[in-house]
Amino acid sequence: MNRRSVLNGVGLAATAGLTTRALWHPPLPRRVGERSTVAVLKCAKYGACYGVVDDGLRLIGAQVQQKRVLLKPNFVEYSAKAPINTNPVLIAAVIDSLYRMGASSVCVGDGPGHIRDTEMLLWESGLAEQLSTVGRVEFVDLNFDSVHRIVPKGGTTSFAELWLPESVLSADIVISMPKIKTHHWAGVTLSMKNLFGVVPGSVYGWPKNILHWQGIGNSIIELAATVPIHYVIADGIEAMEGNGPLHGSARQLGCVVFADDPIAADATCCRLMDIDPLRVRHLAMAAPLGNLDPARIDQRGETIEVVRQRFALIPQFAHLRTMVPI
Amino acid sequence: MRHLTSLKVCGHPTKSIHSCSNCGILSLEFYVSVSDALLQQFRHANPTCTEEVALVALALRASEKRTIALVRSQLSCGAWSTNSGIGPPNAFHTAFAILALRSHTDPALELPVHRGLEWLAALQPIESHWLWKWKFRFFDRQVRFDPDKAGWPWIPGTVSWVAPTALSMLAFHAAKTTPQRLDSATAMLLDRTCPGGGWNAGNSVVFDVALDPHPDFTAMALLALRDLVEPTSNPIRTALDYLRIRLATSHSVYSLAWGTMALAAYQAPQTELLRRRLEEVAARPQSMHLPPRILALACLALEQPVFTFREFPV
Repeated sequence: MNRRSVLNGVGLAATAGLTTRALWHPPLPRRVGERSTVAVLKCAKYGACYGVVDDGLRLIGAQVQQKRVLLKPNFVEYSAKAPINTNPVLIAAVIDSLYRMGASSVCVGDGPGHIRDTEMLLWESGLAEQLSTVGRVEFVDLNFDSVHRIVPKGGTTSFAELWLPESVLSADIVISMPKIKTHHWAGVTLSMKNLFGVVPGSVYGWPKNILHWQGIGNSIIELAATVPIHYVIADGIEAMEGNGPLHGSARQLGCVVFADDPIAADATCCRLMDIDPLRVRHLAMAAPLGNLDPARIDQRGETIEVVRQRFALIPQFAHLRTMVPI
Repeated sequence: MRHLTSLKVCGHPTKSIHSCSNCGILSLEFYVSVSDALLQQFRHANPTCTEEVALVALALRASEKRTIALVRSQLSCGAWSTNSGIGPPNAFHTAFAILALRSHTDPALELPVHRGLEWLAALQPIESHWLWKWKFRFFDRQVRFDPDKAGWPWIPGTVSWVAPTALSMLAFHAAKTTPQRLDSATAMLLDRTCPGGGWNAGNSVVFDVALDPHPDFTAMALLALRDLVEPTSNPIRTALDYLRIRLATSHSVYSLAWGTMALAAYQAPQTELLRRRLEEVAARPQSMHLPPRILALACLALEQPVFTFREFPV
């Protein structure tokens, strides 16, 4: 054994050690049972979504009586040209429905990742008007909410601690309300990626660059393992394809997706976009958190085949496409 | 009304709650209404954010209590975080704290200011390391930026962004100190200009698509660059035009306040129009329920002359 072979051995061992450290993480905490329920309901326009929301929440058996509910929509920035944000009419319909189902309080909270001026975003997007119309609801800017220190539960990042908003941590029920979109960094942005909006900008800055440095997929899983999402209501009435989350094209998917499990919801939304969920890195890694396998999902409403459309993907994510022709 | 002593407020009798019909200067009544709301809010709110405490301290210049609170919340490293003991040290909050402390002439505040500046001077963005520079130059090219031009990150371990860079530059200027990184930070801000003019958080082109600017980040960059870049140069001119057009019909007190201060810093002829728009929006009943940090910004922008982050004692 000479010095070169010793050095090679040490180098190999160090590389193996670092690789193992990067790839290994403790088992993800499972939040749901053996089966999940997803409802895909057709809805061609936002004006018709009130009845659809009632049906969807009933089909997934949402339990909100006497609960404090936080709705977490996806608000990034406003553009009159592109459907970037969860539609405010759908949010208003959900608030209305939750109160009729007996929720003790409903608040809407988000912490946009690109902009500090949430007041302007609420006004220009029409959310302020919708919240005022529906009443009995407060908007919480999660970028500036009081924060508490939390030990992350996913183990997929090197965060020893995360500072998260009180409004999220104290809610009895968190409902993630993403816009169904393709995403130029993560492949798709759905109920789990939507959790980036709970990370407070006042602590971490704009954009939330620290999450990117941990790896977007790793951060998505870390947040999904740490912040419980009880239900998902995904806005697929007007979705986005191509270069999302900001500059993609509108796609009329014509449906709203309801679920009691974020993994099942995101997997179903992928299938509706003709994307294989197992090829979306963060979704495949997060699978132990819930039920990704269609055999474990009780599908209500429409079948995937009836609603599915082939969404445009940027070349970097062409490999996400399912091989099954529509 | 201790906070009014340092302000020049119109004394003409006026019926308008917005501004004096004789000279156009902000009316005492209006200023008092905004300031009272600010004070009221601050009494009841539990300020959790250094930015907020600093802005209120700046708006109410004589507020010794706020200044003491800021000094006490300084971290052992010299920086400030979002609040004492909460979150990582943060360049943006540190810069705001320094700006607030520099509005006083108390010699006892020199040490915390000095320690804050030292921390800022030592804080390097991650792209200043050769390895990351190399990565951004040759591999990670979806976001268009020049990694040789370094400003300040929000928190350690991240890259330069517009807001912490601009505020850090303003903090050094307020302390009458020139950081070694000034030329690089100036170049970094100019490098991040959006193709159509103005600034956003710091990503001007991503995946070959030009991103839109935002009023607050544009205003912060303009304020930081005021004495460093020719006011008639293209980046400054287009940014001022962007603010003027974007905010003409805005309903946001926050963005209007930043925009007014930036336009005033360049003595742009549209400053008065924007200030009037700010008065109009800030006078709405719902505006009085805005967070203290936004009301404090509004108070600063409604001062006469408008506050431009340059009004610090020698």
